[in-house]
Amino acid sequence: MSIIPSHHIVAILSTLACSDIPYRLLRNIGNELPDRLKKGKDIDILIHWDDKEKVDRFLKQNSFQKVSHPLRKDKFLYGVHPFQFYKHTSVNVFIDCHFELACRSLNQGEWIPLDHRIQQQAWSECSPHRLGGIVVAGLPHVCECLHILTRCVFDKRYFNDNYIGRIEELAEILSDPELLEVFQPVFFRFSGTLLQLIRAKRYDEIISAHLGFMEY
Amino acid sequence: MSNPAVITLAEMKPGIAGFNRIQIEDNIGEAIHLHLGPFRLDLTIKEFRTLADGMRTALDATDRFAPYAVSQFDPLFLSECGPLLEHLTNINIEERYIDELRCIVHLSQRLGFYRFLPVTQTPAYRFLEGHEHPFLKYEQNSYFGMKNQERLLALEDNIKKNGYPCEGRHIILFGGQNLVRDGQHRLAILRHQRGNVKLPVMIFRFSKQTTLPRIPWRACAGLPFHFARFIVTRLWKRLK
Repeated sequence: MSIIPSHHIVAILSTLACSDIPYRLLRNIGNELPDRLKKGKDIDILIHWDDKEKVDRFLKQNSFQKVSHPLRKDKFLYGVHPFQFYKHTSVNVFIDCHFELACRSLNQGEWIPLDHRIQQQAWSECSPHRLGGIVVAGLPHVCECLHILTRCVFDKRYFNDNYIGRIEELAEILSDPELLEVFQPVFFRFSGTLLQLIRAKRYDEIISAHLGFMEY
Repeated sequence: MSNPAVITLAEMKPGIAGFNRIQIEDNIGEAIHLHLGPFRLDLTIKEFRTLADGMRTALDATDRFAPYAVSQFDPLFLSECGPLLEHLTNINIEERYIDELRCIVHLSQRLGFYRFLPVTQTPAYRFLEGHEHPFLKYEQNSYFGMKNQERLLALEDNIKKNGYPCEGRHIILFGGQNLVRDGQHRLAILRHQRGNVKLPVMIFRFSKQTTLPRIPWRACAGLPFHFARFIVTRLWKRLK
């Protein structure tokens, strides 16, 4: 699978950054952006549901066309809006628009939203990603850390090296109280154990420890 | 605040005793939720276990399973027996050759296609004999987070250590039938370990008025049900 030339990615992201649409880049795992993104891969962004039409117009004006999302048949619960997928008409790259921070439930894989405090925090602050000379608004570090953890624990059901790498970068700059506060609405009483396992870098034990957790 | 780590431990559809919904969920790290119709009880794990022990004691006090105790049966098996249990007249233990028994193997659980096969043709037995592929993909109700092969190999270890029957838990058949209703994995392991030997099995006998369908013996909606419902709905619409 070949790589998309970085100038295309920089052009797409800088157009988005210069627009008046509030957005957050959800993640940049393994520093794929701007110069390691493979053809056919997507860029995940968070936008407000109220801006859906505006984003739709903006992307269509910038050579994207709306296409069916591969997860369109999934169930979306508790107010999560289905994702919207846009494909660039000339470059083989997609933009995946999320309207809430959400993850899959363990039950039947339905998408459910993270706690409303996390949603608010995602919009009240931002952490910049510096990509090829442009600055792109990312999630605040605590929200990004939680988002990546929920990806591993609930969506992917394993921790791969790129995800671990980013969790470690974020865990290094975040304090225990900051992490516990953001973990608590999602992992409840498992939050303390989760933090200990992250600090001890025992990532391969997290999923089984979570399933087997009994202290509640 | 929604907990993504929800696992449904048990549910009864369409419910019983006037409750249209009975569902037990483990909300990991938070609480056990017991949904009874419009009510929800939040329990700690300790409280839930105490409740389950109380239920077992109450069931034993009814003598429904006498001379055996409820703890000798898989609770999921008992819940799947459901309404049949009120027609249960007695339980006894008999010996049967393994190859006399037949196992229910589904081609599609969702559509309700089943076959009745000797244990030597089941995916679990074939896995133990070295044919891995069909069993790894075989769709079955299993423990959360545990793969088919992990569950089977853990059970094999348990039988090696503790023998069969362990803690009075037998393979279960219904009277007048040779279909294994509970214990198909144990049967596959015992056939693999010991060959076609005679085994003690437990027989649930029901009153003569009870109809015991071979399949679906559980309240499962199979293809015939969907097809019949489709036809009835179309006819009903036309008549209206």
